[in-house]
Amino acid sequence: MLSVVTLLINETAPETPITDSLILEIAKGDMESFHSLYEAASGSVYGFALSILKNKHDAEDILQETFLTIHRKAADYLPQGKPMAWIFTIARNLCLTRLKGNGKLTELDEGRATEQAEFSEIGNLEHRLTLEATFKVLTDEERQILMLHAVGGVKFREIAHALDLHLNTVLSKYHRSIKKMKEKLEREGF
Amino acid sequence: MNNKRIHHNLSAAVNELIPSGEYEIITAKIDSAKNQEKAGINMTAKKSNGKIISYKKIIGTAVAACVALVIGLFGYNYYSTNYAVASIVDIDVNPSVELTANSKDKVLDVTAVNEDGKAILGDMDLKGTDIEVAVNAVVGAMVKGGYFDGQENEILISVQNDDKKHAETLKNKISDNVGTSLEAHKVSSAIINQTIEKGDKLSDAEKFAEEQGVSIGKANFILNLVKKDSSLKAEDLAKLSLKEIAEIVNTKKIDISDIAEVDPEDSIWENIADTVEDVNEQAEEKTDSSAPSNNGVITKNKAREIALRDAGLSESEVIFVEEKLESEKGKKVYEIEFYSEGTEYDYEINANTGKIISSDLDIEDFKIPSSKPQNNSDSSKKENNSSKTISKDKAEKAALKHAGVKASDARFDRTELDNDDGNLHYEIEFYANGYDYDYEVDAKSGAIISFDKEKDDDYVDSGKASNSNSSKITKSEAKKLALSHAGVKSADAKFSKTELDYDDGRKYYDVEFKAVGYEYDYEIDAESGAILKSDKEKDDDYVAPSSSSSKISKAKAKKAAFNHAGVKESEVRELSAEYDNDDGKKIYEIEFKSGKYEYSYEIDAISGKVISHEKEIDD
Repeated sequence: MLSVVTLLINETAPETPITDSLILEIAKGDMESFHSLYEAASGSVYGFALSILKNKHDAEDILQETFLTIHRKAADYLPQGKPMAWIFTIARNLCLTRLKGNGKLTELDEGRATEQAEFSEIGNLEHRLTLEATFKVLTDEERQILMLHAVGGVKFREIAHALDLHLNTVLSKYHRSIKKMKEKLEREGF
Repeated sequence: MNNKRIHHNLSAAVNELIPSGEYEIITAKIDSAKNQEKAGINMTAKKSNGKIISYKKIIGTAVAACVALVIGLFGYNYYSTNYAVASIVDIDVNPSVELTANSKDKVLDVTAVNEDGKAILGDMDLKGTDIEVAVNAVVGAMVKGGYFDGQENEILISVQNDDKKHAETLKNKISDNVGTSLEAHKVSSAIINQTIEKGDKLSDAEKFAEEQGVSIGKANFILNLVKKDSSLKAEDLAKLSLKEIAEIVNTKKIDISDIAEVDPEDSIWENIADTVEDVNEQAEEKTDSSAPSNNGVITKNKAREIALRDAGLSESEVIFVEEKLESEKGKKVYEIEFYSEGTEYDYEINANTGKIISSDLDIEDFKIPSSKPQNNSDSSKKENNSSKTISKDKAEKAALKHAGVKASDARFDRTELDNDDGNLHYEIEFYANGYDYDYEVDAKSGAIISFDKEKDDDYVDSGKASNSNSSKITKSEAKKLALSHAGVKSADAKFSKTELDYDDGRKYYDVEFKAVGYEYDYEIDAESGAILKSDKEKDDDYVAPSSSSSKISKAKAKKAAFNHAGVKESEVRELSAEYDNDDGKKIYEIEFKSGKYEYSYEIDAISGKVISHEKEIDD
């Protein structure tokens, strides 16, 4: 993922880094900045929501709600140099609210989760199996950490902040999850 | 299977799952929230009169008719007589899309009238959304799909309703919304509004629309126009774009004031005159782009060029494996894949804008990188010739090579492109064989700008087997020798050069660094570690740390944190200090343990003040 970012920087229109000032521009109503933020962060927000909710439709809703909240709350943002942590805290809270709202359905959810964690619409088999593997072999927390780091290129420090974990915990969980994923995917022939 | 491949796979998988119209839906929701705020006032006013405006039974139909047209702002309101059940809204650009909504203004169904419409809709799921939101989403997707050329554009909105007031209100709401949304997308456009009411003509219009494969709104307009001027044939007009029709209106001097409500803010006739001029100019362009699905799509060669330029390679250096134009959810994307010297490059390029959507490169798996470190030197030669930014991969390799660490032994904790002080460089942190390495690698040349190696106290030394450097003294050791000789702490030193040189058959390290106002230059024997030469000069460029624009040293930041926490440096364990500038604010993030507590500090790198601090029991 970082190599993607790197290569994009060569382009004339580089991918905008997610900074405090970007959020402040959004607070002023600059839709171009909002769009840049969406381009830069939508993947990780969606992936994060998916890793928590295990359901594409819910993840889609959270993606929308997160960006609507960002747009609405940008003016309240306190620049502390941690915009990613802020964004993922919003996304996480929305996810948790949704899980609570679905509380009655928890028993059903178990069955639904495994059912939903199949992504037949992904054309590339390797991509698809990798994503599905995160639901099969990882714990929720491991999956969230891996997703944030892999899809969003979010720094471990910011992940620690957003998930309310210690940096060392995040690091060790990340390495464990990578190991599990490797084992799983290598068993599947990749 | 490596970390990068897992990252890439996940990233690709997730991005494929996100429906293409999400951003449009989000902005549409934002727009409608804004409009609701405004409308809220009106609604209350109306309510106090005992009359509630309702948007019941409104069916929105958005149909598009012409690509890249100019007509300025028109407001045609067609009040044909009735049509029984519900109401319809039409919006025309070139992709034609039809939306139907229920009595609660929620979208029941969205259908594409033509192929472009299908492409625009992709897999957008608008069912159940607010009609205004849906219309905005569709318009947003049209903008994104490149159906507005960014200059002058035309969009026809027609509202069909069983009640004039309903139609009028909805029309105004939607065209306001669309206007705002287009403005937000920086598209200048002409919005033509027409309201269609219950009318006998409508069924005719509908029939006509179906026969001719045009939208109802357009059909209705044509039929009305034909009634005004009998020399015109509806069938002929249907084949014309709105722009061409507008031209006919102009040339025939047809008074459309009774069949169209003209927006008083804009002079239509002036606009039409402009249009007529543009028609002549754009006539050729139009025939060229008559196949709208190809409109704005770059050629395959162009896509190749973009990918190669990005990779910093020439066509002769690569073997193309795959190039195809794909339509992913209405978005046209070139997939370009090629090999060069054992590296596979994989690009996705937006066929409309030429922007790189994603890129990825992989060293072929069958070459075990640790057993063939020569690969590095091949590619590093190229790096020097290229003025481009090297890849993260290359930067990591450069750091590994410098550190004498095998890729398989290293665990990368961070690799980031940083634009500190205007110098593009990679900040690379990794852990290997009991050491924490911290590198700065020039992003253009791949040269090592600075590096730092710290022993990880938790590590049980298993020998220095991995040190592949042939000279007895490693670079980091040479650096340490120079630092200790100079009495400078590594945190204070900024290395500009650490190179192994050969002179008269003697191997030595040339170490240059700056620290607290001085420039140091050392030559250290690579075999014995003896200091062959040392030089210390005042650094003229040096700005004292107290000055507002320069940052304090890492050591100072650490001290500030220790002082604040009331701990002695000697009592500190597991210290990590990181300078962070990429968020636009210069801070040091310092974490450490002392006693049974874990501390986490943020220190302002300019003022040295404690921005935030946390103290927790270490579990």
